[in-house]
Parts: sequence; structure tokens; C-alpha cells
Amino acid sequence: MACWAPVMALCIAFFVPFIVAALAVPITRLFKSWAGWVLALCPAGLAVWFGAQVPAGVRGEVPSLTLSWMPDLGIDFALRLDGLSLLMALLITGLGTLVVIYAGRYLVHHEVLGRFYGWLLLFMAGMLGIVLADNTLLLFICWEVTTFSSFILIGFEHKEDAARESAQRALLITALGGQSLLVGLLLLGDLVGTLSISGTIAAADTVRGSPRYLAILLLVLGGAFTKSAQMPFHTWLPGAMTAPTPVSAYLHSATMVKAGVFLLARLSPVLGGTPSWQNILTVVGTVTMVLGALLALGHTDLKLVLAYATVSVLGALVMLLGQGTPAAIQAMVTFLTAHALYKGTLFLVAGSVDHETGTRDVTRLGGLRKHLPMTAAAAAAAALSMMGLPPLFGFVGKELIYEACLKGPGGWPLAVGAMVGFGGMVAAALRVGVQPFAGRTFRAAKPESEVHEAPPSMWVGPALLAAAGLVLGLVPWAIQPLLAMAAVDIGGSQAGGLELTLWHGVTPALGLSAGSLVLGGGLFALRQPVLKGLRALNLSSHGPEHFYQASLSGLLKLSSWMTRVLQTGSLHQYIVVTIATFGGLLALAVVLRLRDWPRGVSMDVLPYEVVVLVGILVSAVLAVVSRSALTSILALGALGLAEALLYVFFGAPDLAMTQVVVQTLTVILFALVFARFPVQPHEHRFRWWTAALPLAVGGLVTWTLLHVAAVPTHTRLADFYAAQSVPGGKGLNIVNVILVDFRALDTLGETAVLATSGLGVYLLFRTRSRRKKRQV
Amino acid sequence: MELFLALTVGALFAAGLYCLMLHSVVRLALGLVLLGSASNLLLFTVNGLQRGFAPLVPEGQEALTRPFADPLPQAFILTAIVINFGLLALLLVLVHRAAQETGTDDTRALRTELKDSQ
Repeated sequence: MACWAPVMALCIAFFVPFIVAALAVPITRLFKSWAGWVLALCPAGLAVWFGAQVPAGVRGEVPSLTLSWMPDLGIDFALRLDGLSLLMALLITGLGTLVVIYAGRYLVHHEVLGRFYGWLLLFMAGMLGIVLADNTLLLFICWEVTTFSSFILIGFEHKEDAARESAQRALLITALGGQSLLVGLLLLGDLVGTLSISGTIAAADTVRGSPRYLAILLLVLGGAFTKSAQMPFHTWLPGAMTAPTPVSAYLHSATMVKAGVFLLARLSPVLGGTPSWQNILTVVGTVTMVLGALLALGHTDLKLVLAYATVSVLGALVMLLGQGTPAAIQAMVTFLTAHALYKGTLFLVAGSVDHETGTRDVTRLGGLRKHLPMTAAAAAAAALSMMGLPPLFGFVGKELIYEACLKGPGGWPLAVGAMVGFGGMVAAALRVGVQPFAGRTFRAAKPESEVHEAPPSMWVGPALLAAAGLVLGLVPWAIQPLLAMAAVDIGGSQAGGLELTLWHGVTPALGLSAGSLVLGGGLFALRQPVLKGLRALNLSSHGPEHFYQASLSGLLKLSSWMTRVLQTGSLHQYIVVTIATFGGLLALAVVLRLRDWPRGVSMDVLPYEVVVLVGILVSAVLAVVSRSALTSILALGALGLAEALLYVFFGAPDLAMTQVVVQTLTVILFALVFARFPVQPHEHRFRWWTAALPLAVGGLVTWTLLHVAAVPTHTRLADFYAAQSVPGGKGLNIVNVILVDFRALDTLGETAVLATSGLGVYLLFRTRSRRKKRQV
Repeated sequence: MELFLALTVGALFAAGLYCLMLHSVVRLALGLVLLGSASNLLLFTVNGLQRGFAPLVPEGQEALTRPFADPLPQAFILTAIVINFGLLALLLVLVHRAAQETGTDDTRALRTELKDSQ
């Protein structure tokens, strides 16, 4: 097992980003325009540390720690750094470093840059938490941290309607998915008896054999598919492009949207390998891949093209996880890495182009290679990687995908689907990475003479990422051990024999690569008719998008309808609804549980008790039916005194005394109010139809009470007070001791209520009538 | 006895709820008093009744031995009586002031009157 040093460091690595996120605002205030470089030290340091763990990881050391957090609920603070975590952590911190540096320049004049950094780093903390967590609920908490910080970052320009709308949509979709995930994880934890992820993986056979398996799978997929923008939940991702570009590069292409894929990969040893897993993931993934690539061609905004291309890639990753063969797993981890490198570059490039020219509309851009040479070089390398051309890393990944499709259960049909998807991606790559920089056409907002290269902090990131894509393409064996480790953690030991080479020889996969290039080239050449055709189809206003809009407006309509119906402002109606609800719930209980005739209720009664009861009933009827208010009040007083007599009969002298005093005060109060009343109280006649509902509820109360009273009561509490009143409370009157000693805090609260009420009464009497003022 | 008290409690509930459904605020206050009595008697009945035997420890003894009336519902009811009174006092004064301002105690008329005076 690992020694303590990496374990401690792992714990620190978990908490440091949270702390730095909290300090981001003062740090930014202190270092001003250098804040980006200073804050980047946090992810950079973490990246170096994670990088240093790779050799130990290859040796098979897996640092892990478990601290008891909420032991009664089985929630531990458990971290584990296996190969998959290490790969993801390196991507998160590595890209994080470059994005933080980039953002420092990109948003340099933003008034709340510090807050931006805070949210960005909080996101990074949550994302690292997801990949390091070894407890499903710790993972879920971090998952929600990313959902929430993503919501804030998408809506960062909150003064714009579009940003707010997109942020709301992203939150609604991903948070609903999060709820589904939570239920799924809890069901899973209940099934295997532990919330530990490694423990769950050990109990994989129990899960797959359980009748609950399908429910768990669908719920977990609900979380993963919404987060990773699979069809039909993808609509939030293009909307998320309203976020500042560094956010799009980091959250919405390289890391957060991969959280869903990561979760599926993490749980694939538990949930994977069944026909339902294979079918659902393959179908959803393939549809997402193909449609995402097609939709990318229907846009001219650089970021939207990239967003739909990202949807397409996420589909490909899910499809590969669905195939689940060792080759597919290996292709998945390789392509995930390649995509993070090239897509991160292209987003940052798009941001630079926007920053320098003032537009992201590709039809208005061209010939930028002269003005932004470094950016153009990075864009070209990334675009070639995205197109899957040698010697870039994207080529390595793509070849593996084709081979995995051909060898896997999907076979040729799946490989052709992948080819179509990649064809679309090739066209998208040409559109984003090549078109703005080639040729001459230039119709941006700024005059051409004012366009110049982005500052170093804005090209260093894309350049480094693009260079990484090139280097890994040339020497893929450099990253091979890390990817192999990750593959083993997903697909078991047989997925470990990963061999990355640039050249595979002339294989069917190479033919498919060529096919996708031809297809993509053709789609790019025919971009005008394709664009027009896709716009004419107007895909975004149908299907999921339409459903989302309709359900959102439906919800709003439902809520305003309910407000109209329930909140009418009529006191009478509120009371009727309240009584009816109360009666309805009682009726439900009676119908479901208390249908039998009540038995075992004592029926003995003494003559004087009968007299008192009759007195109560007569007074109540008189109070209700009398037309004269005075009669009603007097009847109320009589009723209270009769009630006090009952308390005397049944061993409650304190109640009797209090009742007499309070009832007297009540009658006096009523009389006082009536004496000074300017009008006669509302005339009323007893109406049977008004009485129907109260009579029914009264009957139900009696029926329920008869059942409850027949249940033999527990005497534990009564015995406790009887035994403890003198030794514990030093009082002989048990009721008093309860009030002022055992439950003294309640009595204190009650005193506060009375004091408040008294204050209210006093103030109401003090304030002078407006009517009187007017007369003066 | 529980049988008869249960019937009484039901009747008091019906009477109190009926008053709540009227449009007069004064009747509504009356209804609240009736409902208070109904609830208190319900609490009193629900745990079983005991004739006599108040929960008082005889002088010089350490503990009370059975039979005795259950002290806990009594403590609850004592609290409820007092709270009811506080609520009623505030309500009555409020009704009084509202009627002074508007000259009516009809909830429908009060609503329009108070809206107009805003």
C-alpha cells in the first residue's frame, strides 16, 4: 500500500482549489493584471504533483484515504487516485492552468474579474472532487458544485437576457439530471450496502443480477446524459456558449461535459457489460455523434460550431463506453485526451479571434494568418488533429475508434456511423480552424489595419495545447502508460494492452479515415447549400428544443393558473379550501385504515357528567345559531365554564382554573369590542348547506377519535414524569413541573408569543383611526 | 365516557368550522374559540380519561403511584388555552380596528374597503 505522504498530499490537493477559490477576489485585487499568472500557480502546482504521481501509478500504487464523515449515513470522505482519476486530474489541472492565464488577459477589463476567478476555481475544485472521490455521495456533492458553478459562469454576463436564459436552461436540465443521479446512486448504495465506489465495484455481480439493475442504470444515465449533453438533453450546451470563452473552452468542452462520460466510465465495471447498457449507450451515443456533427454545419458562429462538434464527440465517447470491448475502452481514453487538447485550443483560438476582430461569425472572417500568426498556427495544428490527420494525436485516437467499431459488436454499421460523424467534424474543423485564417475575405467590425496578434498570455495556452497534440501524435508511447492505466480502471486488466502507434499500416480503419476526410471535404466545399438546407429545416425549433420550451412555458402557465385559482384573496375561499383539505385527508385515513366500527371505547357515564355535556352542546348550538351577537358571547362563556367542570371531574384542576380565568377574560374582551363596535355584527341566518361540510368534518373527527382513544396508551412518559417530578423538578404538581422545568423552553416560547400578541393589541389600540383624523 | 366526549368534540368541531365559513369576522373569532375548546377536549380525551386523581404528588412523597390522570396532555392543553387567548385577543382588536376604519365586519366588504383606503 501507499505510504502516508501521497495520501496527505491527495487530501491537500482536494482542498487547495476550494481555498484558493475563496481567496480569488482578494488575490485579484492585490495583483491586478498579474492575477491570472498568480492564480494559475494553483492548478499548475497541482498538475505538477499529479504528473509526479504517474510513475507510482504505473507501478500499481493507488493512494487512497477514508475519513469518517457522517458514519451513520455511510458517507465517508474518501479519495482514491487510480489511473482514470490521474488522467482526468491531469487534464483538469493542466487545462485549468492555461485557461486561468488566458482569462487573465481575455477579461482583463472586466469589473468583477476576481469573482470570475473564484467561480472558475470553485468549478475546478468540484471537478477534481468528482474524479478523486471514492464515495458516491461525495462524488454527487462535487457534481452539484460543478453544476452550480457552471450555472453562474454561463450567466456571468447576467445583464444580458440570453445569458440568463441559457444559464437557467443549463441549470434546469443538469440539476434535474443530478436529482436522477442522486436517486440512482442511493438505490445502488442501498443495494450493495456501501456508498464506497471501490466497494461497489467489488460487488458488481450483485448489482447486475438485481431486479433493481435497470432502474439504477436508467437513473444514473439520466444524470450522465444530461451532464454530457447527449441527445435529447443536449440543448443546454450550445446555449452555454453565452459564457465567456475561457469558460466554454474549459467547462463546456474539455472538462465538465466529460463528467458524465467519466461517471459512466467509473461505474462501467459495475453497470456495464449488460445488453441494456450496451444498447442504450451505443444508440444514444451514435445518434448524438451523427446529429451533433450535422448540426455543427448549420451554424456560422465559431463557438456554436465548436459546441455542436463537442456534442458529437461526447456522443462518440458514450458510444465507445457502450461497446465496452477492451479496444473500445482504449479508444475512449485516447480520444478523450486528444479531444481535450484540440477542442480546448480551438475554443481559445475562437476567443482570441473574437477579442481581436470583434466578431465570431466565420463568414465575415478570413486571411487572419497574417495578423495573428501564432494563433493561426495553433488553430491549424488543432484543426488537423480534429480532422484526424497524421501526425497529430487526433489521428491516433480516430484510428483506434474505427478499429474498435470494426472489431466490436457494432461492426461495420457502427463504423460507418462513426465515419459520418467524423465527416461532419472534419467539415467543422475546416470551418473553425482554417477558414478564418485562410483566404482574404475580411468583413469584421474592426478595420483590418487594427487587427493584430493577441497578447502572449492569450496565445501561449492554445499554442501549448496544440503543441501537445503534435508531440503526442509523434511520440504516442509517451502517454501510453497513463492511458493504459485509465483503460484498466474502466475495462479491467484485459483493456491494459494498449499500444499507441501513429502508423497502423493500410487497414480498413485507414480507409474509413479517408472516407471521412472526403465526406468532410465535400461538406465543407458545399457549405453554402448545406448551411441553407439545415437552416431551412430549422432543426433547433423542433424536437428537444421545442419540448424544452413547451414544458417551460407550460410550467409557468400551470403555476400562474394555480395562483389564480388558489390565491384569490377571498378569505372565505381560503377557509373552505383548508377545511375541505383537512376533511379530505381525514376521510382518506378513515377509508384506508379505519373502516371498522370502533370498539373498546368506554361508554360508562355518570349523571352529572351528562348534564355538563348537554350544557356544552346546548351552548355550542346557541353560539352558532343565535342571531344576536350578545347571546352568542354569553353562550361561549357558558361553554367555557362547562368545559372547566369537565377538567375538574377528570383530574385536571390546573386546567379548570386556567380555563375559568381565560374564558372570563375572553367574554370580557368580546363584550368590550362589541361595546365600542360602530356597527352591528353581520346579520346571519343558519343555513344547512353551509353546515354540510363542517358537520361532515366533525363526524370524521369523532370517528377518528373513537378509534384512537380505543388504542391502549403508552404510559412510559406519564410514569417518567410521575417518578421524576419531585427528585428532578422539586415540585409536587406534575403539570406545573412539566411546564416550568422539563419543557421550560416551550413555555419561554409561549411567553414570547403572548408578549408579542400583547404588544400588538396595545399598538392597535394606540394608533388613531384615519377616519377620526379626517374628521379633525 | 370517551364515547360521549368524542361525540361532543365532533359537535364542537362542526360548530367551530361552521362559524369560520361565515362572512362575518366576529363570527370567525367565535369559531376560533369553539375550535380551541374542541381541540383541547380532543387532546384530553385521546389518551384516555381518569376520574379524579389529579397528577399531584402527595406531600412528603418522592413519586406518584397509579392511578393518576396523565399529566402530559394537561401540560399541552394548558399551553394551548393560553396561546389561544393571545391569538384571540389580537384578532379581536384587529377586527375592532378594521371595523372602526371601514364600518363593516363582512370579510368581502372589508377586502374592497381596505384596498380602496390604500
